[in-house]
Amino acid sequence: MADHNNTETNIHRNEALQRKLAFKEERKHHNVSFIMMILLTLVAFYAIWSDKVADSFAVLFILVLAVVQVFFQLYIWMHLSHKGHDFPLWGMISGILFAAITVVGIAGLIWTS
Amino acid sequence: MSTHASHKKRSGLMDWLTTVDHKKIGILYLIAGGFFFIIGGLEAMFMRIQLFKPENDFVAAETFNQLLTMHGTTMIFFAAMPLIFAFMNAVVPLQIGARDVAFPFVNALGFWLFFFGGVLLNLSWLLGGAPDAGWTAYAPLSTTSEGSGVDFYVLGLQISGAGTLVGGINFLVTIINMRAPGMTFMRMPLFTWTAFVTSGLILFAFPPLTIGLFMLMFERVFDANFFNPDNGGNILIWEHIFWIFGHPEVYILILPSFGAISEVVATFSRKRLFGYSAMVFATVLIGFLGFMVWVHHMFTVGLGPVANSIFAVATMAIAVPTGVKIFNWLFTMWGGKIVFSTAMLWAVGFIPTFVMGGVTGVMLAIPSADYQFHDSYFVVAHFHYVIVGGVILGLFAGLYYWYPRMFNRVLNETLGKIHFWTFFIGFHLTFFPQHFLGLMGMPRRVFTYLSGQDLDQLNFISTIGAFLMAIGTIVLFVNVIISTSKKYAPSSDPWHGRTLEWAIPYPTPEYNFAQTPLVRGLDAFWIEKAAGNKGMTPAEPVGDIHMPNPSILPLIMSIGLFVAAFGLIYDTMTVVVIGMAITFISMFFRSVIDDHGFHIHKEEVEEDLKGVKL
Repeated sequence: MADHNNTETNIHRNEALQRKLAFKEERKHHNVSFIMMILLTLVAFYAIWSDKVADSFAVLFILVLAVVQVFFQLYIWMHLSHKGHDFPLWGMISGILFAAITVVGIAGLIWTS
Repeated sequence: MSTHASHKKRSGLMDWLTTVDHKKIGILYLIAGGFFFIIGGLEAMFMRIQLFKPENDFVAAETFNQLLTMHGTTMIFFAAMPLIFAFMNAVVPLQIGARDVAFPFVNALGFWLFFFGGVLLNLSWLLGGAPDAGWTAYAPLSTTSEGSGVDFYVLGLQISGAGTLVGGINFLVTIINMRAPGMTFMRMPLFTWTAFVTSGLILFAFPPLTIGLFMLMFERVFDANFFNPDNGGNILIWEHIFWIFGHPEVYILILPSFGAISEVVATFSRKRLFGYSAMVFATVLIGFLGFMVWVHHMFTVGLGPVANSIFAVATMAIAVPTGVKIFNWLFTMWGGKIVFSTAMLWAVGFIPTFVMGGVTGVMLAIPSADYQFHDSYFVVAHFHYVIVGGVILGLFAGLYYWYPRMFNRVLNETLGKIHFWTFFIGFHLTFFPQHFLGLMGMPRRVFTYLSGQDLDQLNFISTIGAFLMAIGTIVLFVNVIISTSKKYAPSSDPWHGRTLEWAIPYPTPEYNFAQTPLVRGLDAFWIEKAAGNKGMTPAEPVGDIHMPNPSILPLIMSIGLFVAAFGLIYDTMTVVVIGMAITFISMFFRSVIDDHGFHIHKEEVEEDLKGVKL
């Protein structure tokens, strides 16, 4: 009986340890992404502010940076990678897909013809 | 109001105006949708009377334009849509074992927004003329249309569109989160599946409509130039946006009908639905492909052979999942013990009729052939075959099938069969000749035609058919009135139902399920009956049941938008401000007043359970 209790406490301890590790890992991600996001913002600001970067390039460049930021936001800060986010993910992917079809379709068919 | 106090019962009109109960909202949708169905039907009758002989002068050309615009708009947005929402409300929460939808307040708001949008649009008849630019409201016809008819169109659709959008979101959340224990996605009845996919389509298809209507409103009310080529606009933008919404819209309409047909065919064949998972996959695939085909409405615009070919192939691809469904219904019936009740008659009539509409659809999907068919009566025949022969026949099947669940009484079967045969024969008589009228060159949306062009006879037959359909509809209403006068409660389980909604006693308790049921497989109720159980196995002990409070605010919010719309139509900003103030103040009250709902106590539920015999 005592042995049984022992195993149970061991399992509990193990679980707690794993949670702690996961938490630590997550905090690391948060810190990294926080610094990255500030850096990306600074780079975006510099691209527009500086005369050395051509405007036509800068606009495209900061759009790419914005997409990266969106991924940081969704996956690190809004925990999209965690369990139980299947429906929000499906919703967003299909929303982006249909929006993209709409924009590409209209833009392509109207302004190329 | 104390949170635990038992609720005060409202009665009569106030009960209906403040209800947040999905069952009552379903009935409201059914009545309002039925009302607009009659109005749209009358408009159709006027058009058919005008066309029954050459050079008729029953209505003027301008009136005819208004009739055809209002017929299309009313039937799509204010008859078919609410009738679909009627069944989704009445059935989906029961089929998944839930006590209500996820957001009962929003559900009521959705209904009242739709209702006032419909009332606003139809008031245009009395206020200087209805919209006359077709239900598609193509620019520049709509942007330059005289009078305020098109303004009524824009604002009426904008308000009801908001109602539909919140309704769709509500059902998505409900189906994802509120399924009873054991009700996995692949155990959901097919009507719930189609309601789910339809709600997803609503979520993605209605925002384009909202944007398009805003652009059209800015064009008309504030002189914007989105669709004005003189100032750098492009009329094609409207057509694209409208059909990016409009094509998914037709799948929004047909999918729940497919769902209803699947339930009816399985129930009255006394068999499990053949190929359930293929049916689910086909439903999702149709919903997905529905967004990739909108250009097939615009083949003759001149987008070029590449664009036309891509969209032609995508369109034809939809015939595959639809064909899968047709075969699955046939295989469900094959070897089944078929009972030809009225609901089953509608379902069986639906299958060949919808196939005919599908075949003409594939014909229209061929761009080179479409140059010939475009804007002719062939197109009119095609979309009436899929919308009346598909959506409406499916909805009638659903009406006869779920009527006992919604109203605690059954419709008369003999009258139901008279309704079916008159409507069904009338339908084919009306629309079958129109294929040939179109091939013979009769353009759609014309108010008259000349004699001596071989158009007389077929138009005459078509009008006769329309009268038969009207007679069928009158028989339905007689049937409904007779059923209300009779005090008749159906025996429990009138159709030997398979799904959860038939496991509930009559009349349906306010809380639906005294105890949330445990679902052990597809066709949950059938499984329990086959195992010899008297009802569902409960998944929880009897306890207090939490219920939402009724509220008048959804009605007031919708009235506010209704008032503001008049301000926009007549260019009086004070009225706009007053209307918006009404809406925002009610939204403010909704936000700050805590409404915890009430509880139906355990003792009351136990009392109810004692009276139940299943």
